[in-house]
Parts: sequence; structure tokens; C-alpha cells
Amino acid sequence: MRILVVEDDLTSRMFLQELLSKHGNVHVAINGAEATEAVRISLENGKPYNLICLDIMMPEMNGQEALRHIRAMEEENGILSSKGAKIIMTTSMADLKNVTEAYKNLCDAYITKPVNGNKLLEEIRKFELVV
Amino acid sequence: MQDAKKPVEKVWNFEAMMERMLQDQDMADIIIAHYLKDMPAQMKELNKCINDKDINLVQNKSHSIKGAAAMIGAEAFGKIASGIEKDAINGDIDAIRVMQGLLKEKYNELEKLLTEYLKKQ
Repeated sequence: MRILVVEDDLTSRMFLQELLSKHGNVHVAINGAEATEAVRISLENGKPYNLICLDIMMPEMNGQEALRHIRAMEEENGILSSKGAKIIMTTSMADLKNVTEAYKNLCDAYITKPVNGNKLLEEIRKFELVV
Repeated sequence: MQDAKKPVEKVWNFEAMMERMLQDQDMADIIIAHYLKDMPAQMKELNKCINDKDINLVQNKSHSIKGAAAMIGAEAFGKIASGIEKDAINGDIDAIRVMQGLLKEKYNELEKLLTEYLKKQ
């Protein structure tokens, strides 16, 4: 499984990296701009990410904007969101506006921080990305 | 007098952290070591933003500090960072300055506990 962790905070990023590296090859990005660039390169190389964990509040480009860009890039490459990367928002923004916006922008799941390892793996299992 | 109904934040909620980290001791040790290495720089950056009265950056930095604190179960420290974030959203630099000292105080308590913990591993 190819995984992209998008998180500006080092501690949260390290946790996700440690947790998910047991289940696949993990790349990291520290903001939305880096994330969209990583996704662009992965699509160009024909090795798209299977899973993206995406924080919302980040400098440069926030997670909501990155989510829109990622889905648009997938569409440009003929990939429907249902066949694209499974994108899980991992954020402390628990307000209805952000949750609604993320689902409207075609995220697949929304987990509020602090992220619980069991809960995250449970979501990933639902996508049948891990057993 | 303390309100009996009000939850008291722990300096470090080890059990909550371990639960989030699937009881993985090795993972916890790595995360804590990185946290201790990273947080002084984060605090320094936050203080600079406060001194520069850059409210947007104060909000961003305090949000990150709050997130990292929540991850490792640093409840009391995280609560102060959360308060600073709220004050930044409200544009209240005076309230932020009041909290600034308290944040440092809570971090010192936390740092001591985490350092002692790592020494025992």
C-alpha cells in the first residue's frame, strides 16, 4: 500500500508514520502544497497513493484546498474519486462546517484529533486496504 | 475552591497516550523523544509570533502545539495552548500575553515528567 501522510505537526506526523509504516510505504508532506505536488508526481509515475491522511489546518495550503486539488488531479487523470485514493481527514477541526465541506470535496472518512490508532486502522480496514 | 464536577487535566495522561498508540511502548518512546526535541523550537516560534503581534501565526502555532500535546496526552499544557488559540481567533493579544507565562510553566512540568520517563526506559 502506498500511503501519504500530510501533517504540519511533527509529533502527529511521526505517530501516523510509525503506525502506518507497518502497513505500507509511507511518504510525508508537511502542508497541502507539498501534498498536491506528491500526488501529482505519483499520478505521473503511474503509482498513485492508495491512502492519504490529510490534516486541515496547515500553513501554505490547508487540507480542504489540497483535497479539492487532489480530486481534481485524479479526475484529470481519468480516475473517479470512488477509484482514487482513500482520503481520511485527520484533524482537530470538529465543526460541522469543516466536516460537511470535506465530505462535499469527496473525502472518504473524517477522524478528529487526537487520532486513536485503533480507530484509524478500523477505518482503513473498512476500505479493505489492510486485513 | 475547586469545582468537583470540572475535570482536572493531568500534566501527562500516560494511559490515554498508550491507548492511542495501541500500547506500543517502542512507538511511544520514539514519539516522546521527538516531541521533546521539537517542542522548545515550537515554543520559541510561538513567543516570537506573540511578540510580533502576528495573530494569524499565533493561531497556527498554538493550534499545532495543541495538537501535539493532545497526541501525547499532555492535557494541562494542551489546554493552555487551546486557550491561546481561542484568544488568537478573538484577536485578544493581551489575553494571550497573560497565558504565555502559564504555557511555559506547564511545559516545564511536562518536560520534567517526559524526560524522567525516557531515562527509565
